[in-house]
Amino acid sequence: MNNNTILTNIIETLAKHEDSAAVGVLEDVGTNCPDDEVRRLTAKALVTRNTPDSLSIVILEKGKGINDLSTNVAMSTINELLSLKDKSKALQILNDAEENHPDENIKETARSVKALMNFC
Amino acid sequence: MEIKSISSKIFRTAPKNVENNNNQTNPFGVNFKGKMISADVFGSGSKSNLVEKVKSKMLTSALVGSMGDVAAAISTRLNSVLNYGKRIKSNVTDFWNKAKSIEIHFETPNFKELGETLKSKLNNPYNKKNIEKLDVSELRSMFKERLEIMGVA
Repeated sequence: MNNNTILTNIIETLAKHEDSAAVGVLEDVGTNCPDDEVRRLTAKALVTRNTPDSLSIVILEKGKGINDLSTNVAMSTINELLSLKDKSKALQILNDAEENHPDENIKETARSVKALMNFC
Repeated sequence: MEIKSISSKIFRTAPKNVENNNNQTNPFGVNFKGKMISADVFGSGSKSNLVEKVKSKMLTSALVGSMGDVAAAISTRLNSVLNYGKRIKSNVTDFWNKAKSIEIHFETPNFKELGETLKSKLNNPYNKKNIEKLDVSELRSMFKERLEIMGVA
């Protein structure tokens, strides 16, 4: 079994894990990894969990999720958000970021993603 | 001589009772000096045997001619059936000869090796089924370890 397969298995297990502490593991270990692919898989796992704490990481934090410096990671996260069946929690956080976030770049990105989600 | 008697002698009329022969007709009104044919060919009574004979001869010749054509057609069809049968026979013979020349080998699978491979897969700690049984702290360790192995920690 190769490394990529093992890594995918670990991250997917964390995405579905019942224990909410899995969010902390994904944020600490996954979103801070220098490898783009690891960050992309981690962001996807956080969106899949679809909880306020996991969505906050990918929407509100600088350099993570939709605000990632890698265009590939950012676009992939936006795509995952648009694919959510229940978008209500994500829209709420995006709304909050658009109105209240101190960082203008994060505000702007949140506004764009919110418009996309309303359009789809 | 009286006038009445003279006129009767000059204008002599034919006798009233004329003997009629039913077998004879004379449509042209010509008197033949020779003997008359007793049978009337124009009559509707008995038919001529000659016409019948000619008719039957024509029919017979037509029938014989058609029989010759039918025989030739049957012969052609029989030959085509025979040729078809011969082709099938040669195909079957060829197939049989080819089949005899083919060798088939069966490789018996090594069940022991298969069993061991399956066992190792099931016992693999990184198998999804096994990973799902771990708690969050164990997953954290595994995650970090994997990133170190990959050189991206």
